Amino acid sequence: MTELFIKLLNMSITSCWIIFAAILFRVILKNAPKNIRFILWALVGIRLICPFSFKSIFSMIPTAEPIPQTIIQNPLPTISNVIQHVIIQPETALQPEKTFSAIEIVMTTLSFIWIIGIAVMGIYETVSYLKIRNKVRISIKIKDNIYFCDSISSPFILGLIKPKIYLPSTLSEDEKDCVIEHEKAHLKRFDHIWKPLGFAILSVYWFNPIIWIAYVLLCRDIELACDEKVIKKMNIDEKQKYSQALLTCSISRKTIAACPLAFGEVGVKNRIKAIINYKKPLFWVILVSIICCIAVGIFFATDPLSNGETENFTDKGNNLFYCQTNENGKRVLGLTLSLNTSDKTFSLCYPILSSLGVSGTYEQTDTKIICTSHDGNYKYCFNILVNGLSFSDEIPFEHPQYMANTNLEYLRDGDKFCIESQEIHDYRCYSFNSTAVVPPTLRLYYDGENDLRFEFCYSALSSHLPTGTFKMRNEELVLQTDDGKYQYFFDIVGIDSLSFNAEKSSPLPNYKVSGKSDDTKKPFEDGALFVRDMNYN
Amino acid sequence: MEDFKLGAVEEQFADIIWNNEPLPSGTLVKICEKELSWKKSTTYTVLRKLCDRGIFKNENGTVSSLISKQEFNSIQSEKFVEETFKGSLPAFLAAFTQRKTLSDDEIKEIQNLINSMKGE
Repeated sequence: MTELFIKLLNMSITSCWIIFAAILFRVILKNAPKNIRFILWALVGIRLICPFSFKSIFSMIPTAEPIPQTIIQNPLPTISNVIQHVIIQPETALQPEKTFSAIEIVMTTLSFIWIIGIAVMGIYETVSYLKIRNKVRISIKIKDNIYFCDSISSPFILGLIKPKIYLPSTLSEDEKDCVIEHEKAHLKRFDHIWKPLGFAILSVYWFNPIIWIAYVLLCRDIELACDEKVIKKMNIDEKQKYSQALLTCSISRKTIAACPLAFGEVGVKNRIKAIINYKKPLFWVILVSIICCIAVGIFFATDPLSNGETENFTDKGNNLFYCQTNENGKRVLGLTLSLNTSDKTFSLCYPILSSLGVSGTYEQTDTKIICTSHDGNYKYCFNILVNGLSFSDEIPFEHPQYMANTNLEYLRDGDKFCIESQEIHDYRCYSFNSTAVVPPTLRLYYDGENDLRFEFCYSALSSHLPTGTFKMRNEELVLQTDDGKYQYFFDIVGIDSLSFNAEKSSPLPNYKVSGKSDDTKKPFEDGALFVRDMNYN
Repeated sequence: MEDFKLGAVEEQFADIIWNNEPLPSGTLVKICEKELSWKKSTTYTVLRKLCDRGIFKNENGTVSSLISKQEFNSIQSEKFVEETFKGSLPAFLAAFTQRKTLSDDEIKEIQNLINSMKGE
């Protein structure tokens, strides 16, 4: 529920931009057909209802998520770390595993208040509706869906599915005609649905004052659009009658009744002015208005592409990736840690063969992350730092069994891990960028049981395909064929590149380059760079 | 004073009673249902209101009027002249005839009315 509240909070903030645009439009293009205003409010409504939206590069909204969801889920509790020194939470001292950041508590409280607010709006609405419905029980049908009633002071429409028009019985004949025309126009425009819908949206977003403003303006614009529809085909006499009726009905005012569409309530002065000044809008005004409408839709009803990510905090869904770095934060060849914050699983992976590693579940406290493998055999402990993690040897590090042959010195106490922005892919195939049709490739894999194995295809012309096992030593890959006859060495020069070390390796055969028998060369030389093949799988 | 004014809706209801009185309340309900599409509860509510105002009464399930329609209308007109013309009937007639002249028949009728009143 708190997440929903935060999402709605964000939606209401982003919709403010389009509301401002709509208000601006109302001011600038006063003489535009009032329907355009209504369409703008419809865009606002859609923006507030739809949880998702199109992303476009034209979006003028700064960010679609001003308040990140992860503010309560942040495994780097930078803010709460500070606050927790200030706020004492005695009950959590007894349960060291379960801690809530102070922000989470604030947000949850706010979302409770939000729900209560919705309930209040709902109750007010229901009570008003029932009161009015009670009043109009004593009414008499005149024709179709039009009723007379003694106890109401201004005309309105009641009902969503079978809407009925109720008129005070004290209206004169002329007034009756005008009012009936007006209310009928409302029905044709389905205003009896839009207005309650607007109120429903308002009930959900009651905490945002700008949306209240939007609702009030929406009501006014609905009346203006309705007036326009009615008087479009009226001559001057009829217009005068209409204005008169409007004036008479407005003398008995009520407070904003959210449900019924009342004749005389809304901004009477402006409405009469609009009626008097009504001229059929010029073609270019209509055109400009439509263009503005579309523009507002594109600029404000779509989300921006990037979400304003900061450097230290990246989030792809719920997955976080950390890479081993040196003291200066520069990435070194080392282990990678990935955390899934939604189901609390981790994966600690080795370089080169990141498909191998230890995975399991983790627990997070204020200061530590403790990972336990699925089989329970391995545990790793990390301290939480401001912008990353550091390994803590309070639980000594152990290689998994198949890595036991390595003399890797990974994970000493204090080794740093920094957050990475890109997901780490599997390193499995390395190829040398040669001119051959089938370039030399090195495939590394885990056979599923005990061994790390390789397949070294150094030339497509070779009938011999060395295969065997390999080991990883610090920054060196050592390949040994199964028959024990050949050894190949690669220097691990980068995150995803190997360099062939011809001096240490068994010699490679020569191959003919062209028809000439004495023109031969090796498929690749010492130092040849084998780079991870991204397309391999 | 307000008690002797009937809204358009109440008037239709009152007419039903005046035209059919005395009648059992059940019948009244049926008529209202047919002509006005009113529920039983609505009919009884309005009936109660008008009884409270002293226009009708509902005794032992029979509805009848305390004031006849004619009486009611005369009270109405009295009140109207009182409120609008400070009780002066001549002033009322003067205002009335400002827009319409009286026909000969109407003059005769009024004359006869005055004559019969002189006699009382």
